[in-house]
Amino acid sequence: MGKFEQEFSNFPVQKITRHDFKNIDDDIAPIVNEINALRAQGLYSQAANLIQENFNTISHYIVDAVTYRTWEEEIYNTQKYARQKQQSIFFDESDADFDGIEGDVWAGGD
Amino acid sequence: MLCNPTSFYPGKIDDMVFFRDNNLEKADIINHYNDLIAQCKYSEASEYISRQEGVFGFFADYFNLIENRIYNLQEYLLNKPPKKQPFIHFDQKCLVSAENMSIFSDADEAEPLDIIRLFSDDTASEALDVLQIFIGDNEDEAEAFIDIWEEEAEPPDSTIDTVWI
Repeated sequence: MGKFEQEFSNFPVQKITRHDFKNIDDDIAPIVNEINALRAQGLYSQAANLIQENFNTISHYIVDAVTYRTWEEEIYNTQKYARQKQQSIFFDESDADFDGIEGDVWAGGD
Repeated sequence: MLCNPTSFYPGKIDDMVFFRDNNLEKADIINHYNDLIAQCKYSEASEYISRQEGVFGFFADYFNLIENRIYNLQEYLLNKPPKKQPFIHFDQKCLVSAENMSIFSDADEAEPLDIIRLFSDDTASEALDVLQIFIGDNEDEAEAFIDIWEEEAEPPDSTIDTVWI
């Protein structure tokens, strides 16, 4: 069993950090309008910089590739952890068929 | 509310959302929402869409629903007790109880074990102090199959975590 992925997820050391997403409202509108205006002019780097400068505020309103990668990694690590948490007993004939992990029981062989 | 972002797991399995494209019946709602966004009326658009039922889209409720479900599942797993290493009891010896064993003659009548004759030309009965049954093609390969009469039973020191084979 390999290690947990750690690029975007810290599970099982730490649970997922929830964003508390919000739909865009008038409070965030000035920044959103400025980002959209920069993008409309093809100034993508400036738009990205503006997002980074206001990341703590705007992160509640943005779902981007990092968000999806984080969810994917959280689910992946959670599945892996759940499988390790389950005590399993295997009755396979040979150890080649044994698909257990540390702490599991293999009752097989000659 | 478009969908309830609260996760009730592990109290209950959360209902499936069945996220799907909006049908034509919802087209007016979506168009009106998009018009409000285009006019930069974000708060009004948010309040409007939050009042709709059966409308699907990438709104905050749906994203919060996903994260809440992941969070509750992780919390549940982290609170599970650690994996136990069970005690394994494995005895290779084949233990057979003689209590219910009967040997039948040609007359299909059960014969008492104390008068049975095995491999003997002698017509006299032979007492069997210790019964041993061998398997193998010849005597050299003979291997004791049963040499102890013992009641098959669970190990005396077994616990609920004992794997008994």
